[in-house]
Amino acid sequence: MKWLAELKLLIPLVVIVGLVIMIPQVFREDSIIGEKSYYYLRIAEDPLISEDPLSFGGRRHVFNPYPIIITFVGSILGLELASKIVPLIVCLMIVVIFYFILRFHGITKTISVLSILLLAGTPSFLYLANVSDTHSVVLLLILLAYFSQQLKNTFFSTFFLLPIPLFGINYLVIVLFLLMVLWIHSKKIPSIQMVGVACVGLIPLIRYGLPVSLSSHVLFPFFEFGVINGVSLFVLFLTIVGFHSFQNTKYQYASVYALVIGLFVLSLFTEWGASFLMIPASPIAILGLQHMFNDERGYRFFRNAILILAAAGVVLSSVLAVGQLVDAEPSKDVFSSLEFLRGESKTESVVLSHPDNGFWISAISRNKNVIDEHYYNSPNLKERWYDIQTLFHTTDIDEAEKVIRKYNIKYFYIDKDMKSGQVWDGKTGLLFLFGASNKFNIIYESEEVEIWKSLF
Amino acid sequence: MGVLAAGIQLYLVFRTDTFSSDGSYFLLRQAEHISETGLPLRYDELSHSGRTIFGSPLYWYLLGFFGFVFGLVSLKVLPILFVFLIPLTTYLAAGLLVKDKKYACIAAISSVWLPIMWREILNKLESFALFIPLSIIFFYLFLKIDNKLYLAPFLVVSFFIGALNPLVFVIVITLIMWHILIYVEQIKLTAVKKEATLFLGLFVLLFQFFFYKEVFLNNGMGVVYQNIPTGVLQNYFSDLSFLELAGNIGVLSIIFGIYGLFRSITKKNEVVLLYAAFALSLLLLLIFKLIPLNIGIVLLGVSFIIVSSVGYERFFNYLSITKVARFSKTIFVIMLLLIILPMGLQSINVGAEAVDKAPTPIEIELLSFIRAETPVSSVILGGINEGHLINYYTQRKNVIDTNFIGSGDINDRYNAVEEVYTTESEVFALKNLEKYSVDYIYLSKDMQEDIGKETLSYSINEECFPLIFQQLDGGKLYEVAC
Repeated sequence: MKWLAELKLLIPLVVIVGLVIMIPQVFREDSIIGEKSYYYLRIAEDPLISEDPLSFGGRRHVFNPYPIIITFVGSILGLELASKIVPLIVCLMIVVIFYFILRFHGITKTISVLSILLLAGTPSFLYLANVSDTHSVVLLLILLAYFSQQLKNTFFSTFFLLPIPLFGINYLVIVLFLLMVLWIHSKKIPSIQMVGVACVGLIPLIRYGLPVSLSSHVLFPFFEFGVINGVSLFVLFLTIVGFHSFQNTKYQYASVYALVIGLFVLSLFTEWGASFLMIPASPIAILGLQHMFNDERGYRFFRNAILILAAAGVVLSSVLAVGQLVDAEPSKDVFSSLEFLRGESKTESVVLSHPDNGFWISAISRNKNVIDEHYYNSPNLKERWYDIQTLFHTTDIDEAEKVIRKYNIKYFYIDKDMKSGQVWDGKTGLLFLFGASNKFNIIYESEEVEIWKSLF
Repeated sequence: MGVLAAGIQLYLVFRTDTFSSDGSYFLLRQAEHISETGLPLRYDELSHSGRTIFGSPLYWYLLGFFGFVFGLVSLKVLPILFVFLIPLTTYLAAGLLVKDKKYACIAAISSVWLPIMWREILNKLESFALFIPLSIIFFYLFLKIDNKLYLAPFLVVSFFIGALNPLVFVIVITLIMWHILIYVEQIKLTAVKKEATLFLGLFVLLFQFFFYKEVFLNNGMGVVYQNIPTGVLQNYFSDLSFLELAGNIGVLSIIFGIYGLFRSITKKNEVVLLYAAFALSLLLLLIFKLIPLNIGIVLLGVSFIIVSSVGYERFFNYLSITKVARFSKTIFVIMLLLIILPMGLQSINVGAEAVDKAPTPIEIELLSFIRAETPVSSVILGGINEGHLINYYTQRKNVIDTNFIGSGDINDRYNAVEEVYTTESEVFALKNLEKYSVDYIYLSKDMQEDIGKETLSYSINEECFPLIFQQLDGGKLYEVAC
């Protein structure tokens, strides 16, 4: 492969992809997208803290290298802009490495370019590029490690893999899985990487313990069914066509099958699985279309129609994904309500809400949340969750008071999702108590949010 | 036989001026709107007191076209015209399965006298009536697609079926199931059929997603249950029993359908496998309660009837090598009579019952009173199955109707309406009435039967709930004056 010759094609490709993936940020007004992005933004102010005073009302901080990157870029651009720019840059780097990997495997220029354009238009990649989270960096490290491995450079391959468990203990699963796929593919155990990653994985495990979860349910990871970072059904459809075109190759592509199926299974349990799945899925989908076009046995009309329909479907998904990212939470209303709370509370008071709102409460309103979605190594998670559920659903004022005093809750942040099924269906539990008891005062009310103050 | 059935159906539907399903009145309003403006109603100010309407406009345009050209009366005939196509398409489909066309004839005759179809289609405007013949002809054309002559009709039918109704997902699931069966049976498929499947799958996905995108994105997996309120959902997808199946499809069709299926499935016949896949998909969807029972049974009935032609042929072929071969013709005639007489009588009976469910002139009188005597901006509270009727005849807003898709607070609405009709407490009733700005409560005869009382419990407070209109042995209209 002539590297410099490839750049002639790669530079305009990166520019096009860059223009596509930055559309949501361009059309969105100032606030950054997502929930956890606000957590990293807050931690980036001091990424080496040992105690986090605002999460779970005060807890031990779990180290993560990602905020350090934000801090580093933020020292030049400012933290908020860094939170927007870092995922975009990382995704462009992913595109570059992915292009080289495809070319290295002998995929033609046309197929490589089409694969990358398809990848850039998928909702999960657009999400990856616009939401500040660890997933994009981890994906980049995995691709770098894989590419180094293909270039027979075990040192760099290990170097890129080693820090991955520090970004989140859950990533240990994907790294070990990918190493196993590599094992199937090369029929050689990547022992150095396996041992290295396992050792680094032990650090957070020993320091912070095993990962915990409040509930383990299977996700339905499709964008068309409302999952903003889910798999596009159109791409999945084309990937199946691509697999179908491999059917006569027997076990030649066993590792690719294992990779895609494994990543699909992971996407059922993790929010980042879909983004990772799109990496192998996009070239397979394009290869499937190419295979179909080269197959002269069918009708040309069908082949053309399928291409047009598939392209229209992918474009429709991309356009809708952009729209969803532009309108994604936190909305202006949510932002204003949290800024109001910041002014109202003055000191770091404890605010109760759904875990979904926890990062915003601590990052935007600068108050302590009772619970947020950073469950790993959180204090008394199960007990806390049980208490919160009791408080949300009780109509007994004494029982409510007990929980409120236990966590020293001063404010209740109630949004429209909580009132329409996420917590309550109708005015029951705490919502009923708000109306029936004089121990609660409403201090903020808008279309999306209500903030109540506890008078206990 | 089809003409005879159509004649009876025409006689039945013209016994009344009204339609038997509430949903028909929504379609009637769409047809009228298209006839007047050329555009479908995308924002309905009357339904749910104002909401966006989702869905493909193809069928609405079809109704609008017929309404405009032949008058709205022609819409009574339209479903009968669609049903008339069913025996014709069944004959074609069964013709692919049997050598002797007289067995395809038996299947076609059986499809005329399918009681549940009479109940579900007669005097109703829903697009389901067109979906049945279209799905049968789709399968026929799909199986013939290797011949290029069938490409154009296949594309036309694919477009219509893909744009008609979300039920088309049943066809897509059937084709996926068929490919699995074909793979298991190791039958070699042509490239054209693979392309045709992919084409339909992508077309349906794109088309339905385009028209329902907001619903898909906002409701997620909930879209599978069409945003039906939880309270309705329990009754909407009832359990499936064999007796119900036999009574509605016909015992002979089921027996010979199953017999035909088993005899052919071992012969690696891709045609039979397609109908087996159709039946299997429907059974799975029914078991998981993903399609309404009545619709599922009609489609299941059609698939059994088509495959039963194989059963009949095998049965008579077997008879021909036995000692009763000389009675074959007599047995054939007896079998035909066994199909036509009981099923025919049951179909007519069920059809007449369906037509009798249409609103009576007394009910229309009350609704006309509302239109004449209440302010244009009034909100009328009616039962969940009376919402479109209220919209159509009174031109006033309703609180709820059966157009659930896209309604954000459907469970709240449903519970509020239920509470207004059933509560003893004036406070609870007023809370709900105030929430939805209700001006009048329509208490129809059907609603009185549903709630088991002739008046609203709290209506003794005549100052708050004055009785504006009362019919002898009919409906009532209360004003909400508090």
